[in-house]
Amino acid sequence: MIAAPVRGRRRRRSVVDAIASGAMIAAGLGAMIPLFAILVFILLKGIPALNVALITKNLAPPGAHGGGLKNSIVGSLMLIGLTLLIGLPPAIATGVYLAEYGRGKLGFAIRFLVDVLAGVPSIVIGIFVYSAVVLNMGRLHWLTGSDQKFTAFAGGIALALILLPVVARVTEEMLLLVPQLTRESAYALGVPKWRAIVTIVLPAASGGIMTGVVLATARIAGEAAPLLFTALGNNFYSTDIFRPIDALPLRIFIYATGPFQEQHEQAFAGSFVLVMLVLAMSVGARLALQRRQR
Amino acid sequence: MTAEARQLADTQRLPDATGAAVRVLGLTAWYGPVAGVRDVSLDFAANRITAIIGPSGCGKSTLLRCLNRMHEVVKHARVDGQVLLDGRDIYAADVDAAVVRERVGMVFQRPNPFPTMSIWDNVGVGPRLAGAHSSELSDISEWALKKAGLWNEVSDKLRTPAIALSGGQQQRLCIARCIAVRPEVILMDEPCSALDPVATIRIEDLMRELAREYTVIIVTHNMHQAARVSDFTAFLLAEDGQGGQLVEYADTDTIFTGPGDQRTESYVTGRFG
Amino acid sequence: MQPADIPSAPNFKRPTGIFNRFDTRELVFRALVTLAAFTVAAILMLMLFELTRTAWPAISKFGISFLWSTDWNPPKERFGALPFIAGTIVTSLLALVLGTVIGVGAALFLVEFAPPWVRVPVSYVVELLAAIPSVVYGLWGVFVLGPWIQHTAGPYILDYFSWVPFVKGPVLSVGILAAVVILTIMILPTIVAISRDVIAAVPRSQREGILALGATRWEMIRIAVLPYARSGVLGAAILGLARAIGETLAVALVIGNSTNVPDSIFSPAYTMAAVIANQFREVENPMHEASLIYVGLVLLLITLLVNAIARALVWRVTRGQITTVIE
Repeated sequence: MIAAPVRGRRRRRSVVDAIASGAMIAAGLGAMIPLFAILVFILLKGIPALNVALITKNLAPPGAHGGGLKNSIVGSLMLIGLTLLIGLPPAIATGVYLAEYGRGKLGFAIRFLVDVLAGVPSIVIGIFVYSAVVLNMGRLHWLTGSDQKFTAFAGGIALALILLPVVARVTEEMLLLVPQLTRESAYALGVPKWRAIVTIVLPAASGGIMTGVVLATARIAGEAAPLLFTALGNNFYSTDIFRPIDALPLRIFIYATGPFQEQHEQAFAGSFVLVMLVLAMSVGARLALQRRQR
Repeated sequence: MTAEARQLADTQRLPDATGAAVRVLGLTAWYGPVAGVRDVSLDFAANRITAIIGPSGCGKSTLLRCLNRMHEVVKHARVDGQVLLDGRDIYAADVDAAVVRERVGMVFQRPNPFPTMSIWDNVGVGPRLAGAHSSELSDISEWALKKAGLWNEVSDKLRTPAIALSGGQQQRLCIARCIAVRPEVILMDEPCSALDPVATIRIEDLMRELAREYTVIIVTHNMHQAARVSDFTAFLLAEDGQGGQLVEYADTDTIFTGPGDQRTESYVTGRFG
Repeated sequence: MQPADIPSAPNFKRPTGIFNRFDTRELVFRALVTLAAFTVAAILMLMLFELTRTAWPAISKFGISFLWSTDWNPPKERFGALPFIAGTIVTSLLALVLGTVIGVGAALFLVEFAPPWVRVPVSYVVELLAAIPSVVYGLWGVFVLGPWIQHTAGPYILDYFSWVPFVKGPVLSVGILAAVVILTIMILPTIVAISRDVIAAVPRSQREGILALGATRWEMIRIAVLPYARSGVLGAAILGLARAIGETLAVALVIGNSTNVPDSIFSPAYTMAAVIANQFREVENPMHEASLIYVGLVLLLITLLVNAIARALVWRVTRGQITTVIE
């Protein structure tokens, strides 16, 4: 069917095609290997180290036996609560602004700056909060009643700064998904714009916003870098906002770099708990999102 | 095909024409569980223009795309039957689809020049892949552009982006790109439906010119175009969701002035479709 | 004409504000949300200002030469950031190259080869990678990757590739190579997710156009798909680069913490983020702290630059449609 020299060239092209296809298939399957490697590692090392003491006992003094991760787990939960308290209102308000009032040049500029904020490394945010808040804690002595510089409060602010741009953009996107018809129906009934937003549009978008908040929470649950010099970590149990507080990822980092075998064990167990929690939140949020899109 | 038609086919061929005859035998094309065309058999004459007409959904594009094995690009697509190019079945197990496509070229409904390439590069991409030397490349590209009737309009801006051309010019560029690969058959899937009437007339003139060297098979929903341009016409109809079937195939004059089948007559007189 | 026994409808309308610009509650609401938005936007400016202020002692003492001095000596109060800048650039660029090659390859696999029952789970799995906390990557790096490099991969590379520049021993369980591998894994999800969307968006007419000329599948990808998807893929790659530059804990655990400029892929080194994380809690004097903050400022500026370029590229491709920040 084809002349001989053409046949050779055609065969060469088929060979190149086969090699390239093989490379792409290898890349695709290979990209999955790290996840499995890490998950297997967490399972293998973490599960044997699990025990009830993790949640019931506080951190043991360095080198001592026993003890658990109660400080860290409770601390993480407190920090998440604090972060949401500090960060959610401004984030959602910003999202509302961007979607409902900021469709012009000014809104474009603000959106740009919000996006840029999202890209700032978490450690830089940590230094910023250290500089702006921790160093100035003395000024708030009248409020806090303590002279602690490093506080859960500062840690919450740092994590809130990471949460802010993410939730703001998600809020904006979800609000924009609400059909314009919905708003106009409200206006046609004589409802003022602000009320339409608060009572009709926001609730309509709330599902998607909630999903976004869960995903963002999963992310900050695993952040430790910004806490290094804000919340500092605490070897003792504390739920005081104006004292240093411990957090799970932070404790994992500290234990992993320490010399004690038992601490390493607890780091593995803590990692297992942390990863399971984060994956559960991420997968749950994504499933909810897909179900909604159906 | 009637004897007179066959005789007609042989008299107007150019001495060095490269057009090949295409014979379809019992072709059924599937999209998953649904048949697009069912049990179609016909002979496309070499160096003639054959039009495939029929109402929407009758499978004319499906049939066309089976002739250069583009049908199988869609997921879950399947073909039963044979398509013979110069006597060899293009669906045989040992045949490479890409090779078939070098011999049976296609022009699409909407012009689709590659936007990241210049006019010159667009025309040359086919020969370049097939191994033309760079010295040959420039001759081939110039020849193709002249044959497509585009050379005079673009010879001074060959390196500019192809998407800057008008719709009609882009379609002629796609035709040039197609013939640069020296196919034997040119398939055209409603090539003028996205173009204005002036551009359409130019392409129809081009089709007649191309038929002197190639076999041209076009799908059109415009019956006037079929009547103007083609030598033979095939009428397809899909009845009760069974997939399109060949109702009648004859020279164009017969189809449009004295068709044998009642359904053909209804269609060409505009009673439906 | 109404029958007499239908009661008249109760008058439920309460006076609401006039729906125009002068409704006070509308104004207050609008002011609040606008204020929130401005504040969030202003945080960036505040950050630049605040960091400059606190780093000032170091900035005024060392000036710009801070950026190319290699002298990092806390007790003697001599500080130069070049080792960290070099470490950051080397690890991030290498991770970028590896991540882009593997990531685009994986994206092509997902779009061009994988049937739906493969594509959906694999995409999911790759995106889940993005959810794993950085510190857990670091843990894996310390206990699995590091020893593997030290005992298996490292000696193998030394045996066969020591003729390549920058490949020399000794092989430790920490160093540039470990950091590059971890960073590559961490930026893969970003690159795969965005590239996959961009590649899938290449119109069918483009693919069919080149196939109809007799092209093989790889030729179709090479000539019709990738050039069309170029800007989007580039944007994805640069977003991955920005993430690699700012990555802290995972790198801090495997980079080896050396303040010398690295001369081999196996040398311990430091990145800007890692040195801050490791040294900040044990600063020896105020100039040490100010210098570390100066490093943070440089890191911020570099990140801003890279992010701005990435967003400009991705915006150009998607023509301003909203891109999600969450992967």
